[in-house]
Amino acid sequence: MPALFGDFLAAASEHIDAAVCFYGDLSDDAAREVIRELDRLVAAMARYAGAFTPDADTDPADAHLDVRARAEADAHQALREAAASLRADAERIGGTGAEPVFPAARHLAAAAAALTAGHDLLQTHFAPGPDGARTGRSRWATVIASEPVSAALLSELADSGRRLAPWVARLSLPGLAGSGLPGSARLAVSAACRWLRIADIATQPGRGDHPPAAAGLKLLRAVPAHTPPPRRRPHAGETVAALCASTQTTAERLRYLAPAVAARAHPAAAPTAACWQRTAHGAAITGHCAELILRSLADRARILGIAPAIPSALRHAADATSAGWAAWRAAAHAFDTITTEKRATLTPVAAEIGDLALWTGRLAHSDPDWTPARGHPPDLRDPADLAFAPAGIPAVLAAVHHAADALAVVAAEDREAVRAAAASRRLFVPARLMPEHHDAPYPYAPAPHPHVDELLATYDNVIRSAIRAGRIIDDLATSLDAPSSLLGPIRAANRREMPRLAHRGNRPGPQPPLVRPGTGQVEQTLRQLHITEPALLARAAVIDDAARDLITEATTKTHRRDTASGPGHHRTTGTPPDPRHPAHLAAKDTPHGPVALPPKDTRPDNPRSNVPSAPPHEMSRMGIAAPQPHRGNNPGL
Amino acid sequence: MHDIDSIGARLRASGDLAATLAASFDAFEVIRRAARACENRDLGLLPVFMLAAGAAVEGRNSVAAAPSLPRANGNADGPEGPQPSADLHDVADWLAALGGLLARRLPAAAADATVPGDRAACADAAQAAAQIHRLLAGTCGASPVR
Repeated sequence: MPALFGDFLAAASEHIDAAVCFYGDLSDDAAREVIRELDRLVAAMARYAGAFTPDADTDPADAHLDVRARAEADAHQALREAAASLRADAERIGGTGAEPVFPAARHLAAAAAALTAGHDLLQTHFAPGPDGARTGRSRWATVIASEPVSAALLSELADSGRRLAPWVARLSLPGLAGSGLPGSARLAVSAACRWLRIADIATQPGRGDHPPAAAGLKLLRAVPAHTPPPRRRPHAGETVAALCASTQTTAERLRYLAPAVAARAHPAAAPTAACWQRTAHGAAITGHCAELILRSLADRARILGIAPAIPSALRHAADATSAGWAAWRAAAHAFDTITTEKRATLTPVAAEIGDLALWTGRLAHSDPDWTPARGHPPDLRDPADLAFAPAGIPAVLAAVHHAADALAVVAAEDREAVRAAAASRRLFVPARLMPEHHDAPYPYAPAPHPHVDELLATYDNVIRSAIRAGRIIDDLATSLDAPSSLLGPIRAANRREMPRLAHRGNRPGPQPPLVRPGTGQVEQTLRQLHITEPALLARAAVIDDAARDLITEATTKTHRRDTASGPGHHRTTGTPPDPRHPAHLAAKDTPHGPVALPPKDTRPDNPRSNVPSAPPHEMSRMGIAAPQPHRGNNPGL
Repeated sequence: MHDIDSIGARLRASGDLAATLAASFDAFEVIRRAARACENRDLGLLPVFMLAAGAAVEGRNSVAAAPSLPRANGNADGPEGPQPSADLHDVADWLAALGGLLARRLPAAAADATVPGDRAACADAAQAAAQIHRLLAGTCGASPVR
């Protein structure tokens, strides 16, 4: 099985959970290890921030942004700030370069490695362009950059930050962890902790009262690396399950290879008519076998007593597949007369399409050694052998689904290649096949325009048939919850243009926050008393954080209780808060949230004069205090 | 089967390279037309006739590229295919035999050729002919879909 992004996401999550389970005291060495590995982990999380979003460099202060985009921009910025907060102090603490010893640090290191590997996996779907921008180079690129998947990715990262933050906050308490740590390190950890909380909370307006759509998360977890699986060689006597797996693998290879062929713009490597015809023959045979399989499944579904709509839908899919392979056959016929220059090599698709015909043929026929050649009995496989139990039907349908999907990709690429050949006048007809009055001075004559038009129209029909069959099988796969049910959403995502992403190497550093760096009431009080001792300020920050957590928890509980009590208990906007409300009572005695900065010109004594005077945005409206932005090695003292 | 018989006779009788190439071109075209005509008659044999037609196109186009192939005015109608009533397995046998004949004659013609382009064309066409024979005679290996 190829590695999927979900594997790395799950590994990172498990390691984070394992790390935050540790609640003992930390020695200085352990605390240093934890801070170093935390730095790596948060940096790995921050690398995702905007890396796969087309509008990644959005300014959160942009008044034209909708709630979702602003929340995403806030969360991205919060993750970068968290990483920047830790970076300087992790460097100051220094590293031995050795593997961490302390178990929690080891788990953090493993989580960082998993997230880094996951980032690299997503990155395989993008290629750098001449202008430095990255362009999608696979169908998954469009999926990764799509709104539901971006939201799911951000939500997963924010959720990791949410689980880390309370545990990380302990590091800033002198009594609990590493009493020998410098105060600046404690403040940096405290700031990072708060930025992680902000990243989590910032994603909430985007998802409203609902978690990210399950479909987005399902797609995100299913993203594979952009590499083809190894080619499978046939051997006799394979089971239905093995044949289904081989069909899927070959389909994945063809989906990978087809755009790679099309990308060869150089005429010397352009596909030839012999390749297109071989591909069309292989596709037609595959489609014919797929039709036989679908009809067998329909019979079996009826016998097994599966919902009456399913056998009917399977027959409908078989009819659509039949039209599809007939269209492919027409394309193959068109190359009986139209040809191109000859080459010694075949395109990878033309070389491997026969594998797909072989696997689907063996699924459809009873002969375990079936090939398209004469000499094999054409008897069909017993439907009970194809799907003995109801659970077998979705599995076999998935194989057919993958085959149909791959053929649709191949059809689209071949059509474009044929169009390009027609545009560059690379289509010919053997002179001996021209009408008798045609006096050809060369062995080949340019293909007559009506022939070319007919060829292109034939490919258009192939595409139309493939789309129609694809939609029907998509619906069927969804109805049966087949393993291939993601193919429909992937195809839907690819109706959009291939994304172009900013070059990460030139990415500007963290932007200054748009709200005043949040200091809680306790910390503010200490500063008013001219207390500058890092340890005391760190403790104050932690107390402020704990108070905010308490308020958040109380508010959430109250909200849930209100929701459970029914709509009549919802407080409408503008209604004054109940002074006896628990959250209100708690807030009365706890630190206040952030304070929007006054315009720059009204705070002449503010040393951070580069902080923009933008209106308060989502972060402040949520009542979340943003910690001190990172400014080099000085954490703000 | 008149065309299939007569083209076989022409191939056997061809004495020089040019005549062999011209007869081979027509033989591949006979195979293509016959195979296409049979594709729809029995869907159990659809793959084999479809692939045989494809191999015939490749063989024909290889021969068409040979420098020594005599120039000829077009012949869009070409030779006729087998009678619609002919037994499919009989047609397959005849076409397999014709493929086998081409696969033997073309290498011999390649050996006599002095121009590299002719040798390459004959060699490529012989491969296509051998493929037609393997497909239709039922002696294929594991994956005849090339």
